[in-house]
Amino acid sequence: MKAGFLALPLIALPFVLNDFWLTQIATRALILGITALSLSFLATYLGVVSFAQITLAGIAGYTIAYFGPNTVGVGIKLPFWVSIPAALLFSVTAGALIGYIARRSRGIYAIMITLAIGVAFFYFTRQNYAVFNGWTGFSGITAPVVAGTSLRDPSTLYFLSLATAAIAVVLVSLFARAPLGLAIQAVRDAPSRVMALGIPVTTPVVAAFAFSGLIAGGGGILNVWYQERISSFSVGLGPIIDVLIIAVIGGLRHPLGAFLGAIVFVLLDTFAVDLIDRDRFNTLIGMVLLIIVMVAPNGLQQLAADAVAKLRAKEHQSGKSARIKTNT
Amino acid sequence: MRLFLIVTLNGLTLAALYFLAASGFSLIFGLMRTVNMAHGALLLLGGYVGYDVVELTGSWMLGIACGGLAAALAGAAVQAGILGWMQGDELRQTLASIAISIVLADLMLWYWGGITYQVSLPDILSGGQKLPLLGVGYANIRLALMAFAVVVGVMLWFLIQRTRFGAVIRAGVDDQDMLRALGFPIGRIFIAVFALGSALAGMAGVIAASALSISPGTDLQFLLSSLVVVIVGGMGSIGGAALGALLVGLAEQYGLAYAPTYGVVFTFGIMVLILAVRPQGLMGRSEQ
Amino acid sequence: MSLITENAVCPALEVQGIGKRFGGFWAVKDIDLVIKQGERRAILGPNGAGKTSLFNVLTGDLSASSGQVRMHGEDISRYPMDKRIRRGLRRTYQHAHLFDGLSVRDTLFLAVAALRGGWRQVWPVSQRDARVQQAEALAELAGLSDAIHRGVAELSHGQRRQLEIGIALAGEPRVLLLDEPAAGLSPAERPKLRELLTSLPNHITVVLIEHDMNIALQTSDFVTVLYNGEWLADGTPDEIVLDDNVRRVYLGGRDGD
Ligand SMILES: Nc1ncnc2c1ncn2[C@@H]1O[C@H](COP(=O)(O)OP(=O)(O)OP(=O)(O)O)[C@@H](O)[C@H]1O
Ligand SMILES: [Mg+2]
Repeated sequence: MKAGFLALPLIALPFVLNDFWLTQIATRALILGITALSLSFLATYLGVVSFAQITLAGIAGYTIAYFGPNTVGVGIKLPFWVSIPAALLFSVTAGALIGYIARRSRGIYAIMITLAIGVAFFYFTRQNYAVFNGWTGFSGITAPVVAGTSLRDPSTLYFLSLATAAIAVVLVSLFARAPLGLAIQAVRDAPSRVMALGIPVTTPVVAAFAFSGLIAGGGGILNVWYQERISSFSVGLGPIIDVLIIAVIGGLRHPLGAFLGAIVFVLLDTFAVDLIDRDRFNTLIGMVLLIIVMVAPNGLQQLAADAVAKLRAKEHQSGKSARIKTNT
Repeated sequence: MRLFLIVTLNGLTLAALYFLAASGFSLIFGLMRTVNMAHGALLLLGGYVGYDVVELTGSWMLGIACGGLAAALAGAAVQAGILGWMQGDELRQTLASIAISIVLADLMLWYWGGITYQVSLPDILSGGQKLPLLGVGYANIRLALMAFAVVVGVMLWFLIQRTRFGAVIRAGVDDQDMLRALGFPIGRIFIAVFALGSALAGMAGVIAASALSISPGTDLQFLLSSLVVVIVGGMGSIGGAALGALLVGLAEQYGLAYAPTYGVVFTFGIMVLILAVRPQGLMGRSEQ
Repeated sequence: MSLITENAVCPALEVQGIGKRFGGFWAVKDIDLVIKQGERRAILGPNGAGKTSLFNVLTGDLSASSGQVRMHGEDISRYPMDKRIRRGLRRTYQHAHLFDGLSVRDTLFLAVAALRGGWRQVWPVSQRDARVQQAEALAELAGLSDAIHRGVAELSHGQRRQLEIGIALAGEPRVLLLDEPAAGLSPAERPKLRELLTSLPNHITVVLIEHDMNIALQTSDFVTVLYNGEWLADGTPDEIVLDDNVRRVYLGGRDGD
């Protein structure tokens, strides 16, 4: 029921919006939201804020670029039904590896180690030409053509992103209720107690990062089709901070916050020109982030949830008083 | 051999600069568990202000002092106005300081523009020196930088180990609640330490602008290097910051000289390795 | 068959010369204990006597500085904690660190799954899963049936203690170490706990650290008293309350108890 309320307008969007709104706003927000979801998944269930999610998305994106059609003459061409699973496999493996490195780090230590891994990867892509083609990276990447339509086609890409987002949300909620998901949340709450149950802490941590690699990888693949290029700048500090901002604005306590944050971010990014000097976008987004952190640390998702709850309570009350009136 | 000597000296120079930047970062973290992601922005602010003052007055020393002062004031304002209100919530402080660093960096870009600044040196610091024993020539400013780092290190050590203020800081590192219970004005102590750490960053900024140069991006470069230095050396320990700075500075220069392609990656590799086997850093205390 | 006869002969726990040193300080010094199968043993001692440290060494939370532990004849001194747990050794903690973000049922499910296997499963389990049923049975045993869907963070202090015991009863516990389960309970909650303790099946050996004399003496058939990390006295509850040493260091020091 609830899902239907949400799904119908989302499915109807391509028939209402023009190409600019559909592609620049809706599709972009969905793709950013998926990558941010991989961050808020880790934050919500493992209690770790990871700065390495763009790295994971980037690994999937680079895989698609390397094994797909591009105009820089680097890589091997493979059919998309091989390169897509390969991309996800790499991002999952990289996620597991990062989880293993950070297995004993919590809180700010986890932030620092993932940030360092992210920046190291950025520098690595700039230096490596054989696989990553240095700082110029890949351009002219084209999305696969299935049954005569390119997946980059505005409404096709939108539906693809929407479907991926929906699958990602469903996967997250299933995984969170699975035994391994419960173990992950137990590690978040009391790692030493998890060991006392006879469960090694490393496995849930590695699994959580690997799973976040799957989600981030999905976002990364869509993003490289969307942008039609990828380079060291796509995995640099800018995008890393952007995704963090999106997740924080949306709210780190609930996975769905990521999409809320992504819409706000994309709208600000697109229409900041009309509000302030285009060059001062960073001041604007920095202020928004600061205000959210100061007044609503659980993000817009929590604000919205509170507002809905309040509205419900009011409705309930007025409904009651109405009933009382009819009774008397 | 000559190359090796020069590279080593360059590594030590860089280590000195990294130490100046990281010591303030580590000091703040050590007392209040705040990871100040705006540390790099404060460093850059100090550098810009120092440059303007040197241009205006011609006095290099005054430039250093004003750069440190500007950063100290900004740092105190950040702690008093924003971070102090969320004391104890480390994640929130980290996120807030990221926001501050984004805004500060953008405002500085707006005011000082995207160009590169280099502070003009006083006569005694310009030119070079033929080093005795080693037989290689080396720039005065870089030698002064190393001396300055040693002096700052010793002074910090003295401040923390031998003064009353230092005793309060040390007690606070071990047990904040105890300090509060004893009636120390912990809020003001935090602001003072934040100002001190920021002053170190500001001075490091002016010195970076003298020995090298500064531009937008310098903030991130030094924030990242500070992070790596304290991760390697151990958060909150001045000795750890010195050790970390030495390791990172030397590794970076050797990497650049002998394996230019992957020099930076090499540095981060060291860090990841250390974190994986010793999460609290070489000289850090275990969290549990 | 041979296992049963072996168990009948071997004590549930046989502790020889166990010690634990923190730096230069021995928190537990050269303790010997023989606890028979099915026995209800109370461990008494003033604050800082080393009771919790002794448990930590027995379960493998901390490594022993000296001595040996045998459980049902098997030397478990070198086993890591999870292997001891798999052999049937369970404990509760004096200071409960529970999973505040999980529900009571999920916590108990995880405790069951950790022992029965399958905690690595990446899709949700069905309500009819045997492990879910076991978790629900545990909740009932621990007196938490009504709170089974509640979040752990919402539980009262007493309920958290009950949940601790529920977790410890997961799988097939053979030796149960309880660290001050009554601490912090309201007078109304205490009888419930005593009932839970006395209702534990007889084949489970119970070792109980307890400050509440009433609970300790009423639920145990043998008492060991520690003082400053060392053994002070042994005996039945009746003997212990009359023991001069014990009266002096323990009962005497806390008159009114
Ligand atoms: N991890 C540790 N490091 C250092 N000393 C410890 C540690 N754990 C316990 N101690 C010391 O060992 C001694 C025994 O502590 P323990 O917790 O075993 O006592 P206890 O008998 O359980 O006391 P209580 O009745 O208060 O629970 C105490 O002096 C305590 O300070
Ligand atoms: Mg105890």
